[in-house]
Amino acid sequence: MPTVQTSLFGPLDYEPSQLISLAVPLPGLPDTKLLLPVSQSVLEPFVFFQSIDHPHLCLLAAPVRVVKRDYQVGISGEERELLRLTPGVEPGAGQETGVFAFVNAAGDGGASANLLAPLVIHFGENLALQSIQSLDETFLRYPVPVCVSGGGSC
Amino acid sequence: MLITRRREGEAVLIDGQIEVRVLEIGQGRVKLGISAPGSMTVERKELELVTKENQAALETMRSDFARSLLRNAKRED
Repeated sequence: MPTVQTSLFGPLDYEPSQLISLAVPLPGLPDTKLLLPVSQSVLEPFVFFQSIDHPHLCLLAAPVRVVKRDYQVGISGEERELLRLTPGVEPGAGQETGVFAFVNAAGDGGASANLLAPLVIHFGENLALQSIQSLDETFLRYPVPVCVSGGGSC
Repeated sequence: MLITRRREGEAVLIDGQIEVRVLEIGQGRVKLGISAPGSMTVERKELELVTKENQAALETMRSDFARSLLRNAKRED
């Protein structure tokens, strides 16, 4: 089993079949090509996406519907091809795909999720891309509900 | 901010070297054609916003929020 050295978790063992390959580089992080999802029950609903290419690079994400229950992702025909999604398979519906929003909790204003550009994953092909949606800029830093980010009840 | 009304096929010229032409007007969307010198980067504004947000999101790992999550994870180990 291969191991990756990470700044956050130390050495991490993984199965190559767990790796998610980016069909298009993430904007601003062009050298990152492979991500390892790191999830644990205690972290739910959050998932860490650890870069295999860069030990120090790790992004926190949450499923989009946890952040906004009625969120709908729309992908173009080109994105569908890049993800090798068969016609009729809608991202976020079913087990074959996942849609995650990267979380930004670096500021003082609490945690926010990037619903403007969610990470769409086709688990069947281990492919992902960040799909920029036709939404207004408020979706870039959409507040993560307090009950999700560690307090209160929803 | 310059505010101007343009019809399909019409254009505006910026600094004599960047042309923004309205190619198609649809329901709630317009298709623009932009001609600019090769030395200039032309991209959708959202791409720049997402680029900055991704870089900002990396800083989350240094936040109390992420540290607290990781502490919980280690406790479970």
